Amino acid sequence: MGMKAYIVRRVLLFIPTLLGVTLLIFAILQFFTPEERASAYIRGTPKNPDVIYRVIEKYHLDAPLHIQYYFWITRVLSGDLGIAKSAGNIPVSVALLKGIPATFELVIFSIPSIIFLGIYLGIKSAVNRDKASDHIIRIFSIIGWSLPTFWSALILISIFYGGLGWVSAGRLSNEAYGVVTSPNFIRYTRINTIDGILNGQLWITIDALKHIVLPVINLTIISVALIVRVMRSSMLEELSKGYILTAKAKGLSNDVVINKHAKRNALIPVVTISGVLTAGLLTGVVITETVFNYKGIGYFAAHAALQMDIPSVLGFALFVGLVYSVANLIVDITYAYIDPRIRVE
Amino acid sequence: MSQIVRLKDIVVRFYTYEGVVKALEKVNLFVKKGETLGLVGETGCGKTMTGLSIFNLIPSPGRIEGGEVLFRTKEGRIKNLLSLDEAGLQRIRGAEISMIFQEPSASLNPVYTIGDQVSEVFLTHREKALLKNTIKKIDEELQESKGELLKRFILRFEKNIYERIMRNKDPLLIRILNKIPLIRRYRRRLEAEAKKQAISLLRDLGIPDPERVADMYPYELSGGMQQRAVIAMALACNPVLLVADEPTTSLDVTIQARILELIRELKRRFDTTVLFITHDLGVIAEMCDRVAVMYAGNVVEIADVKEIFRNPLHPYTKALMESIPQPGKEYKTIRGVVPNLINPPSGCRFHPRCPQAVEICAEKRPELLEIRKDHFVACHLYDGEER
Repeated sequence: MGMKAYIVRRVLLFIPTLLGVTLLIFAILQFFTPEERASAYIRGTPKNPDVIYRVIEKYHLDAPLHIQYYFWITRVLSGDLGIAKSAGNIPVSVALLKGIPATFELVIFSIPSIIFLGIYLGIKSAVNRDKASDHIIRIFSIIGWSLPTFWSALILISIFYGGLGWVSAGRLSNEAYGVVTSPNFIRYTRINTIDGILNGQLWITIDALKHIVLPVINLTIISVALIVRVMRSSMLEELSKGYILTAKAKGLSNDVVINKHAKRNALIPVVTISGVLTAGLLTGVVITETVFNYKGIGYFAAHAALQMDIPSVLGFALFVGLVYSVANLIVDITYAYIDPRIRVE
Repeated sequence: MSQIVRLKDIVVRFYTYEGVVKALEKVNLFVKKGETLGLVGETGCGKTMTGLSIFNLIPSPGRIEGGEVLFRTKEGRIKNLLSLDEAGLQRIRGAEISMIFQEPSASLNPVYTIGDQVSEVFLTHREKALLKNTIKKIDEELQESKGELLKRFILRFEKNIYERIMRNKDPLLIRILNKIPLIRRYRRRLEAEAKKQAISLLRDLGIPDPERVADMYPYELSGGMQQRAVIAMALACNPVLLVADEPTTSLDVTIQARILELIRELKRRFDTTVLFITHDLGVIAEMCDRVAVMYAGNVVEIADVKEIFRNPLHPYTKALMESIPQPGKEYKTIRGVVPNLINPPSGCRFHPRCPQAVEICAEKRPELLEIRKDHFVACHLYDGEER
């Protein structure tokens, strides 16, 4: 089958991509002297300069580049990315693993709502072109797109947290936080909604869901316009094509013509945008996270950058590269699933 | 001979930013049962729009603003297709009238297989027959599978659903079931049944190895094969009327001849009436029994094919005949240019280019009249108007 061969080929291509990402970050590292790079592996500021030289020797930081790269990539693969000084002198990998689940949780809930709502509204808009519903959808989605993230977030907070007093900001209520951090609650995934179920404490899940609703709404408001507009224009293009006329002349209902024939073709550009959007959200929801006091990976990266915490920033860059590579991989495979012509090259 | 379809005073306008395009201005036409009527004219004269108006499928921003399309259905009832509701039209489109378009690669959906697109027609218009076959198959399997409890349970469940669809019970429930991933699988039996019919149809159309072609996507086929698949979709339900809109224009000459031969053969076999749209007078001479000539949104002349080649009456038809390149003869063109249909000429739309135009031509629109038996012309030279 063409599909399987295509997936295998595409996954194999993923390996050199990752190699490229690591090479790029390694190249950036070379802007720093061996001493500076050595200090990334030391907690705090060493009193004795000998410590630095011992680290340089131990980690081969002054060896020829290819040897250096070999030792560096081995350390990276074993999870040693240095010490995150901005996050209280814990290893960068630990700091990343602390932040990623929170962001991941946020994105996992936002992306379906953004994509499905965007596709639905985009189709509605295209099918009712130039009618009232089309104008309304376009106006509201573009308003959402133009809102400053922090502003819409603050408005949501002041209405629902301040005015109506539903829940406070943060990932969990104080009570739930106490339970989650207690030793008899096992944090399997660090994603609270899932851990709540795994620990058999459903109220934790519900509590986490309550806290995630507003950030998700905020991300949806500001991102959905992108999908709506791409879906609308690509749907309009497909609806004017010959095969749509053929489908109608065959006597198919409008529902089949739109949701079977036009939609599948129109989805192709939307898949690209969705991939970029998902990767973008996973790596850069700093403002939403900050305003809602939802400490994820964006929050960590922003702090690290402000404090010139080089190992943390580079660790984050590695994460960003990985996320975009995986997103591209998924996008390419989805393409091939939708459009048979892509399976052959 | 009885008329299959009769177009009466069809008016089509397109509302564009540049102005209102008066694409069809009172088009009158009828097609007799069993014949092939050629519709000929220059590009942009409204041939395709005339074809599409039969389907009530004028693309936006166009609208049908007047007239009637009287169609005799298989049951022998006469319906005005322009006053039917959408559901009524959908029952007729593809089942009683169908259309083949110019560009086969554009008229097939690139992301679905040929088999899928052909069986869709059966699933839409022949659901009852497919359901009966499927239920019969399930009954057979039920008899064979004594003792296999799980299989019997699934078969019973599927049979239940099919019988519900058959009796048209709970259409909402069926619609919901069709959305649930695992349960949706029941449709596979129905789809397999439709695909079997699609394959046998493809075989009838002379497509080699139809089982394999059914699983292929349009891009994997040649233009000629694609057009065969499109013809298969059009003929799936034995339509009474087939509208073929320049079906061979985009194909190689050798394949053109084969597709034309195929259409002729199928017309005989399926007893279909054909409305053949083309700008190629050679194809007209080869394929058609009668010809209708269109100019700038009007039908100007209708006659038997021999009559029109031997004795064209309308000045435009005459000019058209003279513009056929012939060896040894001087090549003539029609003076002037095709008029802009936003501001079409008054009276007869051909008068600015007509060598025989007189005063009245610019003032009064000529009616399509039967000058001789079966020979209709819309021209003041023949209608006895005072000159």
